[in-house]
Amino acid sequence: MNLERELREELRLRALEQTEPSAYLKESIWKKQIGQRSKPMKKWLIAGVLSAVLLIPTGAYAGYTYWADTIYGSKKQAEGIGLNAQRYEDLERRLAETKQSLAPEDFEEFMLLLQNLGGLVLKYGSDGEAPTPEQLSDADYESYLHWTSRLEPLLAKLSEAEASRDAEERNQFADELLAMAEKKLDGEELSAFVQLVQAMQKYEAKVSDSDGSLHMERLSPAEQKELSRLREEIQPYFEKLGIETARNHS
Amino acid sequence: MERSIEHSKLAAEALAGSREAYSRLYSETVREVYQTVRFLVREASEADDVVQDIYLAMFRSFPRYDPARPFRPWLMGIAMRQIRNHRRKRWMQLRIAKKAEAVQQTAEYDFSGDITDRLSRNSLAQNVEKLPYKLKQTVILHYFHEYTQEEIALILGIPLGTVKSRIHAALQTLRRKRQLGLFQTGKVEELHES
Repeated sequence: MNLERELREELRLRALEQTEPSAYLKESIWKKQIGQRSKPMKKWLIAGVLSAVLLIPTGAYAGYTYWADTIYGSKKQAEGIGLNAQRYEDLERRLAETKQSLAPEDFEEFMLLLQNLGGLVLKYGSDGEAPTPEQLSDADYESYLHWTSRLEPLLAKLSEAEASRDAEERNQFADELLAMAEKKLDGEELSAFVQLVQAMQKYEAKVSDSDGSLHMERLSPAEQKELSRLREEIQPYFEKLGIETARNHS
Repeated sequence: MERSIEHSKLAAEALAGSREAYSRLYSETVREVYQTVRFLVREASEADDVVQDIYLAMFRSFPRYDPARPFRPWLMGIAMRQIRNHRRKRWMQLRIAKKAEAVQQTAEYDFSGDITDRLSRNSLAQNVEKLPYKLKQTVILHYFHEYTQEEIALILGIPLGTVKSRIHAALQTLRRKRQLGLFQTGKVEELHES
């Protein structure tokens, strides 16, 4: 018999001898998938540490030694893999914040590890995309596992520090908001505004975890609708108070 | 093509939370995914875990899926990458375990199993099993799943020429093994005669 035909036949027969996937597999995948969707959205670990190195968020500090240069060598080199000036500044700002949140020896270790991982991004990344672990060579993949395992406890410390800072900032924001409202709004408006803020704070407490992550899926469809209504209603007050929000900014 | 649109639609609905869409997508694709895993992952007991990783990776990658591309080869590409990840993890675990076991194994090696293997494992499928991984992978995709060479190039992210040469090399190896069949069993026969 022709070898190719024989091969097809043999493989088909071999497949018939194979066991079936477990009866629970379908359910187990679905549960995990649903679980992953509702997982807290960690600010740092977006989709693996390599992506985080590229996507570290927010702002711009200027005029001093660049921490980001430690990772990528220079802005120019980072541009080579599609990390534009804005994202480079974002990374820089984030690193400056991190320095405030970690003990000096932890920050030193943190920078060393990011420098190593940044090396992998430079080697394999392109067009602003971080490489996925499967793109790495065996030796680099082993290093990647080693470095990320050392990075994990540092990221945990960092998110603890961030959580307490976030909570502090939220409380401070609410206090400032009410102080401002007392000055600028008259009696009736003020009481309506305070009610709206309190109602929104109730939802905030329901969806926030102590680590600062938000879980909107905890709200029922009716509650989500109610929350959107509150947002709509509070908007004119924000405008009156001169507070920029994502919506009136756009 | 119709089927492909159907599958990508189901994946989008499942990602948005439709259990029913997921259920249909799973039922229509799991057989091919599972069979591939069983052919390429040595440890049958780990097949379910690998299949699970494949579907979860599918959901993660779906936002980057290009609807102009057929769905089935796209999913198979994800399956291949997950199988590769699994083999890598496995390889690293083994490397550590092997160091510890090396001394014991040399002392306790049992040749009888080897002889039985030589006697019973003589079929073509067994020879496919022994092919280098990259050749075996191409053989399964082409001769079992009936993917075209162009589709295999897309699935594995390699040039078409490489697919052709892998298929050629695999067939040559299998032919040679078959011709050597008598010589391979010769040793065993000698053992029995002596």
